[in-house]
Amino acid sequence: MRKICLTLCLVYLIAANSEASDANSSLRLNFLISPKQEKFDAAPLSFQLQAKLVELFHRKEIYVIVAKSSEDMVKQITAILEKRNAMIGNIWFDSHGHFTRRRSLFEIGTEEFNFQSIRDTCFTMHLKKLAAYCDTNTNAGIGSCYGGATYTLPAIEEFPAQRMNGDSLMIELSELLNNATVYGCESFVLTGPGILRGSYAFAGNPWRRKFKDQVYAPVWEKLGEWNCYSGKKKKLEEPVTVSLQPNGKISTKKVNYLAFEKNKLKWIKKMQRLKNGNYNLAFLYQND
Amino acid sequence: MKPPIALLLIFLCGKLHAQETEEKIKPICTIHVTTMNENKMKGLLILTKDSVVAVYPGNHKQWNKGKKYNAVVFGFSRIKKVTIKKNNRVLKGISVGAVIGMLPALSKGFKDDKSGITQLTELTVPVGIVTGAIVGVSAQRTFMINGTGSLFYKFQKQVL
Repeated sequence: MRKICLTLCLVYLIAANSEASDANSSLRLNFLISPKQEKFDAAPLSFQLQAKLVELFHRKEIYVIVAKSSEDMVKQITAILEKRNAMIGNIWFDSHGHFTRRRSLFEIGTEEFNFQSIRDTCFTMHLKKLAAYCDTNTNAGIGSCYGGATYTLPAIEEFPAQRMNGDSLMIELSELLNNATVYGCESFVLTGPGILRGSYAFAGNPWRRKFKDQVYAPVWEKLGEWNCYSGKKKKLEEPVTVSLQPNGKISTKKVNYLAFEKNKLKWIKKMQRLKNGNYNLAFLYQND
Repeated sequence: MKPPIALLLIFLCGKLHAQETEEKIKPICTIHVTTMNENKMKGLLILTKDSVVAVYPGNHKQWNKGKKYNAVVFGFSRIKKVTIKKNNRVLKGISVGAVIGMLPALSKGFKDDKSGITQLTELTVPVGIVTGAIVGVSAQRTFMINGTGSLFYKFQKQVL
């Protein structure tokens, strides 16, 4: 009996040790990337403040990186990963989306990553270095408005109809990050209070009048919808609503934002009120 | 004697041409153009000639900073409505309001008892300034073009 007990204890200890070593070798860290601001900008500032506050309580899991370029970002991330001998679990790129450029994109500092620039190996040489720390279990989130948009924007005045190509951006990013799973939003991404509480804080719409124009109709139609590209399965999955957990983990909500009756009624009301003339065409010409 | 005169003329022509190109364009006023498709563009009116208006797609701040955007040209057939707001309208409103506010003091200026007038002026001047500023901000002129040439030329005449 004593022998059996001893063997069982030994087996348990060995198993526990091996589990611990496995967990240690695949230690996963979560990163929130935000651009360094030269001018005052409320949206990234709100994100950074909330992220830094959460970082205080989850010091060993979450890291907030404020970078001025992709090179700067990669330098900071690799230093942490090397020090902790870890892999990337979740990485979130907080950025503005630019509707006037009529394409899906995200920015790291001043560098713009869109479906074209992300294919440029010289341009992405720094970002590519992160592939060594990513695998199919890594989740990446494009936190810019219209970052994963797949619709075609209608023609307006002298500007022809143009596809946003967010799906191409997601696929390319997944390939760049060693087949990671990538999330990108079809619509607006808000940075109001509570974005790191696993709530629906990213979903919703901005209040400014310029967004209530017919130009934005395709964006409004997909309010709170996120696309997901799985690098493992090599396919785009069903649209979901994404949230960030307090430890920086990207998670999907079981119920979509517009499935709630209250949100749907508000959305219908606002869709009916969309009209031409609220958006200033000068913004489009400034990017021409 | 002839060759030096010809040379002088060529030199002068060159000078005059240089002056013409170096002439700095200044925005005439702020303009809101509503197109026939009901889309709106806000900018600065920099030129109106023949059947078109050229609009700088930015504001005064961007213009003064020297941001170079291509001017957007609208032919009259594309324009439904034009709203113009003159430059310095707020300043003009404030100064007119201030002068009107000072009128009680100016009209009673030669009489001995001025205490009541001073009290009245203390009230009327700020009221005049605020009212003038509000009137200045909201001062604008709207021209309906509806894609027709005759209405567009009327607008041109009034702006220039």
